[in-house]
Formats: sequence, C-alpha cells, structure tokens
Amino acid sequence: MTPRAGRGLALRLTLLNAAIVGLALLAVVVVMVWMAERAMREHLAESVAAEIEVLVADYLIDGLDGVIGFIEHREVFESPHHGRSYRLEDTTGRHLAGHWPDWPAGLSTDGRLLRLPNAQRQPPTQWWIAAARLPDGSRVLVAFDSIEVRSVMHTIHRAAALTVAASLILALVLGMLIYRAALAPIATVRSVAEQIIDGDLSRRIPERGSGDEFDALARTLNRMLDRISQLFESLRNSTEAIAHDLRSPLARHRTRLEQALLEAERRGADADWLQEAIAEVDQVLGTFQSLLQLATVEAGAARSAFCQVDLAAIVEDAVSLYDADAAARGMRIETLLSAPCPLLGDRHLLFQAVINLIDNALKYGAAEQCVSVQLHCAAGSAELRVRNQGAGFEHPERAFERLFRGDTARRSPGHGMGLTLVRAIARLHGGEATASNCRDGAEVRIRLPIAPSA
Amino acid sequence: MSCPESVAVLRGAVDASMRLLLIEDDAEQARFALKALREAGHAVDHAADGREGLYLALSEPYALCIVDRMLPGMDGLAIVSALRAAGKSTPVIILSALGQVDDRVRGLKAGSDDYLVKPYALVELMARIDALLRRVREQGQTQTTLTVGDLRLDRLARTAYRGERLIDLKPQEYRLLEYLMLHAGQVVTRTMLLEGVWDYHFDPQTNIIDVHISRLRAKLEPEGSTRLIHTVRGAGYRLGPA
Repeated sequence: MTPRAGRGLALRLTLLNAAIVGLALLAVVVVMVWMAERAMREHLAESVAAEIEVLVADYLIDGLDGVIGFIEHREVFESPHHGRSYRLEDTTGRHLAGHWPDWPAGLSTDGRLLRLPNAQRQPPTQWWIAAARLPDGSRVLVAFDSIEVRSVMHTIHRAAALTVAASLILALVLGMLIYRAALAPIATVRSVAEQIIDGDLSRRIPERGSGDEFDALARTLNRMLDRISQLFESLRNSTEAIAHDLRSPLARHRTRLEQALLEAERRGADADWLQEAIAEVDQVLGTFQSLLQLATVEAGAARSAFCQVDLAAIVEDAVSLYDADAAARGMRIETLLSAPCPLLGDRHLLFQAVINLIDNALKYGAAEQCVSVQLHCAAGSAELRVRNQGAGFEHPERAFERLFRGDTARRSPGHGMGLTLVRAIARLHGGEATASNCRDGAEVRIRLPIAPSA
Repeated sequence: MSCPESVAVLRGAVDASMRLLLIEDDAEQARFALKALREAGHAVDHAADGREGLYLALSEPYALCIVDRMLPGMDGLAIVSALRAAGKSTPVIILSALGQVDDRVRGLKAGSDDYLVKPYALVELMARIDALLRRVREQGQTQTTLTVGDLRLDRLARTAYRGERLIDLKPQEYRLLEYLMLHAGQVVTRTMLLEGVWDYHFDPQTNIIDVHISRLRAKLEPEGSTRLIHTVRGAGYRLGPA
C-alpha cells in the first residue's frame, strides 16, 4: 500500500483556496472594468462636446473657410481605433465640408448627444453625434465612433482576464505545493501505522524537530504506541510464559506416561488407560503449540525467511495428502488450479494454512459430498477458495476467533485454532482470509498479494 | 534470498563407537532422556552447559550430539557452528523450544542435521537418532534394491514386489514405502513421514498419515499374508517382517 494520505485533502484545500482567491479577484476586476468603461464613455461624450466648441471657436476666429479647413484637416487622420466624421452645411442644407452624408433626423443643434448605429464596423458600433449652429446660420455636426471606447475596453478586458488567470494558476500551483508540504507528515504517520499493522510494532513516527503541531502529534502517537507495545509485549510474554510453563511439566508428565507405557508393554499388562492419558496430554500440548505458533506468526518474524514458492504446487501437495482421507470419508476433493502461482512466502506455513482449510472442509462437510479447492492466480493477487457442501458456518463472522468453536464443531476433535491460524498466515503474507456461507455449504477464501519477483 | 532445502546434507566420518553426547541444562529433561537413551542401548555422556559440551564434542569421538538450543554459557547454534568450523562432522540434533520454521532453517543452516521442537516425545527423539545414525552409516551407498522379508523395492524401475506379486503403487505410496523401507526395523514417527515423504514441517495433529498407511497396508498385506507395517503405539510405525 502506498501512503497517499493528505493528497486528497491537499487537493481539496488547494481548490478551495484557489476558488476564494479567484472569486475575490474577479469581483475587484469586474468593478474596476465597469468603472473604467464608465469613465471612457464620459470621456468620449466630453470629447464630442469639446470638438463642437473648438469648431464654433474656429469660426469666430477664421470664419467659414477656417472651419472647412479644420474639418478637412481632421478627416485626413485615419486609424482602426478611431472614427471621426463631420458635416458642414449652409442654411439651405448645401454640403460644404466633411464626409458625413445626410443630416440625421432628430439631431438638434443644441449640443445634445445623438447615438446612431454604425453598421460598417463589425461588430456594429455607435456614432456619437453632436451639432451646433454657427453664427451665420450654417450648421455643423461632429460624429465620433464609439470604437475608441471599445478598443480601449478590449485591452482592459484582456489585461483583466490575464490577471485573473495568472492568479488562479499561481493559487493552484503554490497552494498544492504548500498544502502538500504541510500535510506530508500525515503521509508519514500513515505509512508508519501501516507498517505497525503489518506486525512491526517497533516502528515509531519520526519527529522533524520543528516543534510544530505535527511534532506534538507525533510525540503523542509515539507515546501511545509505546504503551500499546508494552501491553502487547506483556500479553505475549504471559501467553508464552503460560504456554511454556505449562508445557514443560506436561511434557515431563507425558514422558513419565510414555515410560510407564513401555514398562507395561514389557510386562504384557493392559495399558489402554495409559494410551488415553497420553492422547489427552497430547491434545492439551497441541492447543499450547497452536497458541504459541499463532503468537509467532502474528509477530511476523517468519517474514525474514520468505522465499519464492509456488502456491499451486503447495495446494496440490496438500490435496494429495488429503485425497486418501477424503476417500475414506466417502468424499471427493475437486480441484481447479491455475498453475504455476509463484509468490513470496513461507512454504510450510502456507501448506499448514491449506491443510487447515481442507481438513475443516472435510470434517464439517456432508458425507458423500465433494470439497472444491480452487486457486485463481491473476496479476497482483492469488485467491484460494475452499468450499464444502454441508451445514455451513453457524457464525461465519466468528469463524476466525481464536478458540471459538460452533456447537457442531464442539462434537468433533480440534481446538478452535485452525482458521485463526489460517487468517494469521494470510495476514503474515499481506493478504486476508474471509469466511462465508454459500448456497449449500461453507466457503473460506484466502487472498494473497503476488509481489513482482525479485 | 537463499532458500535452504529442508534435508541437510550429511557429512562423512562415522565413528566406530556409538557414544552419544547430550548437551542439555534442564536437569529433569536430561534425566529422562538419558534414562531412555541408555535403556535403548546407547552409551550417553551428558554436559549441562554449553562450554563443557563443546569441549567434550571437540575432544571425544561421538557418533551423534543432541544439543539444546538455549544453554547457559553458550548458544546451541554457536556450538554447532564451532564444531563445523573445527572440521568436526559429527551429526547434530538440535532441541529447541522455538518451533518456528525460520528457527528451524537457522538451525539447519548453522550445520545441524535435524531439529526437534520441545517438548518432544522420547520416541520421536529415539526415532530421529536411529534414522540419523543409519543415514550416516549408509551414506554414499545408494542401494538400488531394498528388501524386507519377501518385500522387494526396485528403486530404478520404481516398482515393488511382494514375493512374485507386483504391487501397483501411486507415486506418493511409492515414496512412503521407500521411506519406510529405508528405515526398516526402526520406529518412524508421523512427523518424520511428513518431513521425509511430503517435505513439509508441521504438526499434523490429525490422523492424516494413518489414512495413507492403512491404504498402503491394504496393498502390501492382502488377506492371509503376514503383517509388514506395524503400528507402534504412541509413536508411529515400524516396517519389518515381524
């Protein structure tokens, strides 16, 4: 498992941050653009009025010819961002100067602004027109194209869009970097926790020495882990001590019984009770042995001795070991194996797990029925399914509890450690075991990851 | 990573004397083991700590050493390593309270020849001592034909005959019979069979081996013929004409 914690959070925080920055900036820019446009329009209207005033003033100084010259001079200037047109006509309406074709209807000479569409531009703009009557009765109009406002606004819009876009990108990139750096300790905590879950209780979260909140959290978690490993250690010690302390006297007891048995056989005496006593001691010793084995498997030490094994061959061996037993019970073992199935593991423990599953399936399966053993070996993981036909689990969810045995199971030999060990072995290999009831029996599945071969 | 095979390679040199050395610090365990071994006809020396044990093992020509894994003064594995480093090839059985596979692998890697988990049944220890002594004795001489009474095993053709009758054996049954015949006359425990025939180390805790034996029996011993495979109560099986 790759520790990816924090990346989702970092992404969400970055997006939130970028959204806030973006919205704020957008509001500012919209207001600024709106105000700029208003100012530009006022400026254009004032320019038209000022031009009229200039023309009237020119007439007062240079007369009608001066005005005509001025207009001709003005109309020479052309630019894609400008549009200016004039018309000077006498009292009879005769055209004297300027390119503007006809006097527009509704244009008064009191200086009020008239706006007419200018279809020559694409998209259309407006002519902003004002007019004045000269002292000799002739009248003059000045038309400015609103393209002036538009081209400036166009530039302003582009600048605003660029600003917003650049800020958003900066907010996203910097935000991602900052949040990821800030949340990196969470990924560390998680990867350490994963290793601890995998059985390495000695791992601790490294402190960065910055004394920040994460360091404080690391210290607290480490203290908690110390406490847990103390408890774990004392539990394991006491389990081992109990098993060991009880095992040794039991073993000596067994030896005495053994010697008494040898003695009795030499004398030809009946020694059935001695046999039974030995069998019972063996049963208790078996339980202790299973408890100790479970403890060591759970501690994960066997992982250091893992090597490449073929799970398909192991399953085949286990089935061949149990074929005769199944036949003796009038049952069959059906196999469907995808071979080979190479993975990194402990051959003997995997064998033990498969044996436990087959043994259980046969023990609790209905007579004359078959037990099915299937191994699917796909890229990345192997799945072993052992299924029988019979009454199924009474409590599938409790199947893996140590020393738990269903009511039916109590009537047959065993000590309720078989499936517990199966799961411990599956977990030792980084996998998992699950138990369920299917239509006509019970099924246990083991899923094991297949590491790419080293 | 190297994955050592379970069966350790045997080294040469068999001493004429069949003296055994037991290095074990638990006085009671040692007492029982010594008593049983002596009753079985072995001459046994005993050392209660590691240094003394190593000194004895290096200076006396023992046929076999039985070494406890955890000893005061010196670790059992260190004794084996020291023995091997000194060029001694005396076969060694390690006794250990640590029954895990990696411990077993470590023990075999260090140069021991067999590994027995404590608490062990005395019959198991005896059976393994006999098997090991025999392996050493017969080392280098691979017999192509094994014979026990009127039972004959042709190891080249992989066939078995009882008298003139060919016995039809499956490969697994053949291996089981071969193992029993290689240890003819000796007690063979169920764990030894699992290790020797199936090559897995684990505690069966079920009667699974018995089923295989009874199948083999049915083929070897038809109605009216003499028994060949004998059940040794509380221990295992013994193959022999009587």
